[in-house]
Amino acid sequence: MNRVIFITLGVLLLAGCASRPTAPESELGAARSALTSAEDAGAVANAREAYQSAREHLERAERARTAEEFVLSRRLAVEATAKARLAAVSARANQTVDLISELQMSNDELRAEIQAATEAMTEGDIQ
Amino acid sequence: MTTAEKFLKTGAITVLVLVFLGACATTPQSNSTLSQAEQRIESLADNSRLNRLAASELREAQDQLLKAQEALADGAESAEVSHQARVAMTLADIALEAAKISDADSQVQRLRNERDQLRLEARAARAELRAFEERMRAEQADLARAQAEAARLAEAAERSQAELQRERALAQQREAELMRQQAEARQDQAERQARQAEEGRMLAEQRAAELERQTQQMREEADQLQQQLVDLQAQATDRGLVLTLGSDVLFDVNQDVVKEGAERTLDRIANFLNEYPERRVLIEGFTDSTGERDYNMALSMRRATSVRDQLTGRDVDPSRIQTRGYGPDYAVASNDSAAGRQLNRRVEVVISDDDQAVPDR
Repeated sequence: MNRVIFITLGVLLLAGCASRPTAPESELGAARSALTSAEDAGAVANAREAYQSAREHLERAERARTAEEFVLSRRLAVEATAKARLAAVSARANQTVDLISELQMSNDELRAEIQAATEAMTEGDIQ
Repeated sequence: MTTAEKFLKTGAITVLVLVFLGACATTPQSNSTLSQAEQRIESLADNSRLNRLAASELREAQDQLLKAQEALADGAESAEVSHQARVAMTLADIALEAAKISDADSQVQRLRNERDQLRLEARAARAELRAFEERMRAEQADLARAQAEAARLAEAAERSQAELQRERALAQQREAELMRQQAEARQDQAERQARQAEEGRMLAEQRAAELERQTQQMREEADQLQQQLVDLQAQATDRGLVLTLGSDVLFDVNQDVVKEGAERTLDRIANFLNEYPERRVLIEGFTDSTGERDYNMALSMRRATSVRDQLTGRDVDPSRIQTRGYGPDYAVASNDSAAGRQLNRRVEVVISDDDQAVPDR
C-alpha cells in the first residue's frame, strides 16, 4: 500500500515536473498576431514602452523556442501577447487623449472666435 | 573527506532536495511577484470607477490572478507563479488603460458634442459679425454720405450768404443809384420849374412889354383922338369939351337920319368916348329960326336923339349920354343971313372933363 502511494506520487511528480512539453506554436502565433495588431493600432509611436517590451518578450520567446526551452518560450510568448495587448490599448488611450487635447484646442479656438466676434460687435456698438 | 566537507556535502544535498521539494511539493509558499499582483489588483477592484469603466478587463485580470494563486496553491514552480502573476499585472495595466480609453471616449464624445455646438455658434457668430460689419459699413457709408451732404449744404449756405451779401450790395448800389436819379430828377424838375418860371417870367415880361406897347399905343391913340377932337374943332369950355357939328353935314333938310358922310366924325367921337369911359356926354340939338318954333324944338330933339343912337350903336353906354332939343334958342349967329342960319343949324356934343354929368345951360 505504502509502495503504491509512493509510486503514484512519483508518477504525479514526473508528470508535473518532468513531462516533455511540446513547442508553444499556438502561443507564439498569438503573440505575433497581437504584436501586429498593436502595430496597426499605432503602438510603435503612441505606446513605445509597452510595444518595445512586447517585442522583446516575443524575441526572447522565439529564442527560447529555438533553444527548445519550451516552457520558458511559452511563458514569454504569453507575456508578449499580454504586453502587445497592453501596447495596443495604451496606443488607443494615448491617441484618444491626444484627440481630447486636439478637440479642446479646437473648441478653445472656436470659443475664442465667438468671443472675438461678440467683442467686435460690442466694440462696434460702443463706437 | 573531512567532517566539514562531509557536512557541506550533506548540507548541499539537503538544500537541493529541499529546493526540489519546494518546487514540486504541494505546500504553497509565498511569491513576491504574486503578492505585488494581488495588492495591485485588489486596489483596482476597490476602485468603483474602474469597475464601471473596464469591468470585463478587470475581471480578466482577476481571473488571471486567480490562476496565479491556483498555481501557487497547486505547488507550481515559482517561475510559473511569477509568470502568471506578471500576466495578471499586465492585464491590470490593460484594465487601467481601457478605463482611461472609456473615460477619454466619453470625454471625446462630450468634446465632439461641444465642438458641434461651438461650430454652430461660431457659424452664427460669423454670420452675425458679417451682418454686423455689413451694417457698420452701411452706417459708415450713410455717415459719410450725411457728412458729404452736410458739407454740401454748408457750402451752399456759404454760397447763399455770399449771394445775399452780393445782392445786398447790389441793392444798396441800386438804392444809391435811385437816390441819385431821384436827386437828378428833382434837379431836373427844379430846372424845369426854373425854366418854366423863367419862361413865365419872360412871358410876363413879354405881356408887360405888350401891355406897355398897347398902353403906349392907346396913349398914342388917345393922343390921336385928342388930336382928332382938336381936328373936330373941339373947344374947351367950363362945361367941358364942346364939339359943334353942322346940321347940314349930319342931316338933310328937315330930316333926323344921320347921313353917311358923317360916319367918320361919329366914329371919332365914339372912339374918344370909349377911350375915356368915365367921361359923360350931353348932346344938344339947335335949329335956325325959320318955321314953326314947336316943330324946330321937336326936330332939334329928334336930331340930338339920332346922334345919341349913333353913338350907342358904336358901343357907348347909353347911361352916359343925355340929350336936349333947344330949337332956335341959343343962336350963335344972326338968322338974317343964310351963312348965319347955317351956323345956327347945329348939334353940339359936350364931353365932361371928369365923371360928372355935363350941366345944362
